Amino acid sequence: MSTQRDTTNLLDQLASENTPVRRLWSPTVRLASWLAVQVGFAAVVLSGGVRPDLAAQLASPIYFAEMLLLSAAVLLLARAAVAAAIPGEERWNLGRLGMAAAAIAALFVFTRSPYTDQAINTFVDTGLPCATSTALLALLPTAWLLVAIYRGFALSPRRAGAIAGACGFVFAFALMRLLCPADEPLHLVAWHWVPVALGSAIAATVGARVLGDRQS
Amino acid sequence: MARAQGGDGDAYRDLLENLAGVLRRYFSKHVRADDDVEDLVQDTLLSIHRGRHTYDPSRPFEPWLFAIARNTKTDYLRRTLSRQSWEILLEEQPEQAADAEGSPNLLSEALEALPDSQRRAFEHLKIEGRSVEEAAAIEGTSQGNLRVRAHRAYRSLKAMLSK
Repeated sequence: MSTQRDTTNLLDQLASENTPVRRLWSPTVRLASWLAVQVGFAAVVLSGGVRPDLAAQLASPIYFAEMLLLSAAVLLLARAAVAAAIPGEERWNLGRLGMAAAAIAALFVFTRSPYTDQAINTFVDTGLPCATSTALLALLPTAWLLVAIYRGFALSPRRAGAIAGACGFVFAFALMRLLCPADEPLHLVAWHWVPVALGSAIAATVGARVLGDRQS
Repeated sequence: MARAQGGDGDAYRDLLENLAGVLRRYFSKHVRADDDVEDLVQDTLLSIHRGRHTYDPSRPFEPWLFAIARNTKTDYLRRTLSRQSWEILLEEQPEQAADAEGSPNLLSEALEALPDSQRRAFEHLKIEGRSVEEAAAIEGTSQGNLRVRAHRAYRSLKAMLSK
């Protein structure tokens, strides 16, 4: 049971512990810095080679629309993630909108070439590198956002972690669409989208643990 | 707050004192017990302290403040709903789990795996038999915060021991 006297003692203690603090950058500045780093990162990755039919794909309205949606999803999710670190500034609607854009982009895989019969070995052998690459490409953008949130004060750590993860993994998915020539729906769902879902869930757990512990 | 962020202890003390009054009135509208109101005020002040670097003086203060206060209140309501059940479990489960496994070391190992603040909270309450008030005083934190740590410790222990 606490009393007002305890509160007064607490006030004294907090005031005596007060030291100058470095203010967090505004969400806009942090978003811009994240974006600059990720654009550079994407340029380095893509300079290693893109899918051979990229020019033809970009001429396709469906592929172009898919990439636009993915870009919008990444931007919305990144904005929501950096805002999640500041009490009262949370933009969960942007996060939801970003997830909706990613979900619509996910539906675009079903407009691609039809299912083909593949031996299970071939399916796994071609898919595993894609899933691994998606996870690796998502590491930097996700970790960057989680650290950005960690430096702030997230009131909803799990949600903040999930949005950071979704952002990083959708970013990786978009990069993989520029790298991987496979357009078959089953491949895209199993080896590209499932890692996005798993990555987001893992980031939510990491957020709940790491960001939540920091508050206690 | 801008002065407090710059390290001005007196300005910070004045601000927190004013905020304590504002928060007390805010929580009194939602919580009946005076002790709980004071717990909530203390938890919110601690959160303000931990998150003070996130306030941007060019923006209004109230949305920032009340976002933290609302979050504290939500946590409190959630805790209140589950407190009775987890406190009963806290009395029974870890010991039972250790007995069931036939190895008291299991609990020790699980305790070692906990973050320090959670482990200490759990040890104060359940191993050393201290009251929440005593344990909070030793840890230099509010009783609400200590309960949260103990709750998190309990949840983690439960998860580890049920593996």
